[in-house]
Amino acid sequence: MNTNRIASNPAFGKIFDELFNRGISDIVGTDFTSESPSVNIIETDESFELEVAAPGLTKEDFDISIEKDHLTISADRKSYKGVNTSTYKRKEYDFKKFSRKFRLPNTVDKETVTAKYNRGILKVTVDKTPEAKEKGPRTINID
Amino acid sequence: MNTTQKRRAHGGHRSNRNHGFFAPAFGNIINEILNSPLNEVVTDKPKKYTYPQANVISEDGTYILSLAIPGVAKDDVSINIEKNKLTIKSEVEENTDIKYRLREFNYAKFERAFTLSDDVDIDNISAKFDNGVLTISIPTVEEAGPKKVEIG
Repeated sequence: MNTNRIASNPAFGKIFDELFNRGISDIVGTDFTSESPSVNIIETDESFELEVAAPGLTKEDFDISIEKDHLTISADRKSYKGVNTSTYKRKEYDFKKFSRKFRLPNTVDKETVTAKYNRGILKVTVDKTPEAKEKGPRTINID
Repeated sequence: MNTTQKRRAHGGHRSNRNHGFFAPAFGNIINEILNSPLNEVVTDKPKKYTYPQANVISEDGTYILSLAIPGVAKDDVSINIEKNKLTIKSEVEENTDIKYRLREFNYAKFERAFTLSDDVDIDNISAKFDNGVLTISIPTVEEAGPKKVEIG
């Protein structure tokens, strides 16, 4: 629970929150097309995992590159023939071409980046350096 | 939710005048409001869920609805048609042990409903699921023209 509660009534606060944190498009549908995919970043003891929600592509469409301390994930679906725009009755997403850039912390090993595409999610795993990996609990024997 | 998402106005696709896949704009608004589950608004759920995005194209008398639900397993999605309402939903209990540093999407639970127009051939709707896109093909039947009654 948040310590800085704005509204004393949690129910009211929740409604307020829902109303203001929801895009209007969530309620009325949208006339906008999102072209940049959403990303989740998961931290584990050993690595960071970036999940890029880019449905409808194939793994060949992606390009992942590291330059200095920046990781760039981009896609360009050149093979995509596309449909005549006039046949669209509604178009809320189009991920055929995008680029997202992330700054890597210096606790990661840039040489061990792996990626796979499954169920419309590109998962990029960047291992932490041995020094940064959190050591599990350890028991110390008393001699 | 996806405040960082770049959104671009997209014009030129609002020409579903007479018998579009959707009810007219106003009807659609009402539909979406009535279909967003009330408990989503009033309960104290800790997590936010992503409202899945949809594309619809019309091709040779068939509407093709493509719902973007990346990461979702085929067996977790249900598609339901009741009267002229098509509902797609998923209810998955998620693993709360995962430590997210950034969370822009979450499709564990969602529900999205569409109103089908009267000329839809409900018996021949089919669906497939590839690479996070659920594609539902909705054929229409040719509407009979105005009927002429001969005076005998």
